[in-house]
Amino acid sequence: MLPKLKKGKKSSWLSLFILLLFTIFASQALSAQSSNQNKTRWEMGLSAGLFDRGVKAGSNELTLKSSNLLLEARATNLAGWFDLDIFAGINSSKLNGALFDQLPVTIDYEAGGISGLIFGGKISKAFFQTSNFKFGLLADFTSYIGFQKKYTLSDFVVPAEVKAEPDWAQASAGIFVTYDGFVDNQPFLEISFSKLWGTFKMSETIQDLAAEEDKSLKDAGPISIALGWNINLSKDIVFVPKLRVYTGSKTAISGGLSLLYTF
Amino acid sequence: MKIKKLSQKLFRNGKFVAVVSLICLFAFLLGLNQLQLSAQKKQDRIASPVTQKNKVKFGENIATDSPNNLLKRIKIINTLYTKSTGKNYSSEKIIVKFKPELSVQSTETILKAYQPKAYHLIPRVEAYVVQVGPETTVEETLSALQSNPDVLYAEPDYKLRLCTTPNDQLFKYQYALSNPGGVLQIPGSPTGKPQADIKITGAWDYVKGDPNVLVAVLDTGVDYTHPDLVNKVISHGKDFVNNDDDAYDDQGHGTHVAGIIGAETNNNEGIAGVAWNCRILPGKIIGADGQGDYDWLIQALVWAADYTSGAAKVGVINMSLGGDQADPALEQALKYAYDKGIVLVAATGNDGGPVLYPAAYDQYCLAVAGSDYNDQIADFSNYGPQVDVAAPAVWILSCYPLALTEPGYLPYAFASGTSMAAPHVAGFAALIKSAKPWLKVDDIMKIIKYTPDDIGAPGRDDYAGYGRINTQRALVPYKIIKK
Repeated sequence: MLPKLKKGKKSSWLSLFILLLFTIFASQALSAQSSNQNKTRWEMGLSAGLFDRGVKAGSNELTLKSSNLLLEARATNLAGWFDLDIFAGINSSKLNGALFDQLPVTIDYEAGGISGLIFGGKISKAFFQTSNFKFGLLADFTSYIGFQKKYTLSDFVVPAEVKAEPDWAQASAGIFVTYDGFVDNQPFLEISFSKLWGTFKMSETIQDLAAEEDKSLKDAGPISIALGWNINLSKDIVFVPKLRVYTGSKTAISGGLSLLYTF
Repeated sequence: MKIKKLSQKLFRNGKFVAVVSLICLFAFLLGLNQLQLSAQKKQDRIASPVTQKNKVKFGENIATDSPNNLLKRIKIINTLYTKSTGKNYSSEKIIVKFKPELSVQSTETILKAYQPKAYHLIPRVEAYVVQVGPETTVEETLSALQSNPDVLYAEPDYKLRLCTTPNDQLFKYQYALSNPGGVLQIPGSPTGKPQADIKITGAWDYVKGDPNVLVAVLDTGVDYTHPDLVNKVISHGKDFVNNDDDAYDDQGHGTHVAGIIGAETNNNEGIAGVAWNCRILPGKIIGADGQGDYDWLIQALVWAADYTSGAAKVGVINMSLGGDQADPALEQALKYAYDKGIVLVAATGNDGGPVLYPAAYDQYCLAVAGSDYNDQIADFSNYGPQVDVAAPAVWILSCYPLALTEPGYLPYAFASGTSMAAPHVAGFAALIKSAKPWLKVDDIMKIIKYTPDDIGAPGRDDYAGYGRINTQRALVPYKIIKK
């Protein structure tokens, strides 16, 4: 009934770039696997994070507030060539303030987080090393698929409800530097070009009046700076606090804690 | 030679001279009378003593006047337009449509065989309005046409009547828009139920209307010189009763209806209209006697549907009137307007009986019943399965023509009737159309039907339809909050 809103221009080139990097690294790793197998270190653990990022949803700007609990696996010096981090878990994404004004009855979404699945991965490769500093490239990809959530429009004289269904993805590529001057811990800094895209779909049904609006989501600013610390609590346990700041929004900040077991 | 003799004979006869003199005198008196009438009509519209007096009165600071004094200066119109006892169709005209396979030439040849006095084709609807000849009656011609195999349908030209009782001024007297409850400042000072109103003030925070969305008021015309309407009427419209381009209101009803829809709002005087910024297109299809013919409505529907002025076009048509009979040409004209994306709003009628036409054409029209200051359905309001929604219809304050306003009174009146209910819905439809021009007519009709406050029996009923309209529920963003 309504013209669907065009999805925001997705950063497909960025995804392709990341995929390309991943393919190159993976193929390099496989070719070098036999000679470097012994040097790979595997870590596995839990990670929890909060994530606030300014996004543009059509004409209005809002903050995507997301919290997640992840199962994380990290391979350091995989195949003697690069580091790989993969994760999957549950996420709650909150897009309060999204206004669906193309629907017959405009919906102002203020209902908080919508649960969903989140998964992704990160690859990094150090290319240059001084006595205490290590410089390298990194790329990561995260995808969230929200579960559909129903809300009843209670004041209507006829049955009325809306269904909300968000999804988003984020891809980043950038540089990192780590400081290896400490004995049991290692601070690091990451500067990335990060794109976020997605849709927030709202379906409205009031008796036999039905319509759907897709709100395209797009990051408010593409640069992110993260500061983190790999802290070895024991020989086998690593604790990683991390704080990230995004440009383009006052509330664009994220933080996470990872507890990883080495085996 | 013969002619000369005849003239000499006539002039010798004084009778001939006397007859000629009398004819000349009669013609002179008739001409003088027409001149006086014409001058009076012009004066009434532009600068009659009554108008001037009221303009002066209207400009004064009435806010300091006590409510009781002010109420005394607002006219109360107690005429409820209900079913008349006479014939419900024209004694001169019928509406006939021929089968589509016939050419115009063929249909006109057939028509001429019935020796009509005159006929004309209503464009788009492709039906003829036929004025029957002096040798026959409407009934005879109708019967003959109905038995003609080339005729698709032939119907009497039914009578329309107004569905209102207007009354008149100032926002605090407009309980229909914002009802504070308690003792209301309307005639009889009844006690009202708080929020038994259309909740327009909340809706105005989000939508005030688009000036390019026109609401065609097909009625008795509109007083386009009225201070609360002068900036809101896009043109002098069209008069289908007198067949000219001046839809001036000589009855009062249309001006009252137009004021409810679109009186100039937030201008420090007069009343507020529902569709704050939308404009009015007047079409006169009802005469000063409060009656009109179906064919005028049919023609006006087509005219309004085709009307454009720059970027402005008709988005809503209000019909605070109705007749008892269904009519295929009327249905076709409604369909024509509906298919052009126009929301059609009609009053159900004031007889306490079945819903009138065109409101009864459920597929194309929103049929509006009347409620009061307590959210009770007005006892005069017609009912039936076609009723879609209700809107305030009792003691509604709106504009009244300057030329009809008596000295000492304000150019406003209180009136009651479903005629007053329909324009609340028409204004509401214009606001939706302004805010969301991409919506289809059917969607707008559904929004209006599904967003009211349920009054009367729970759920939809034949008296209030889905309930009394609630503009706020439809126009203010619905906030979904975490529970």
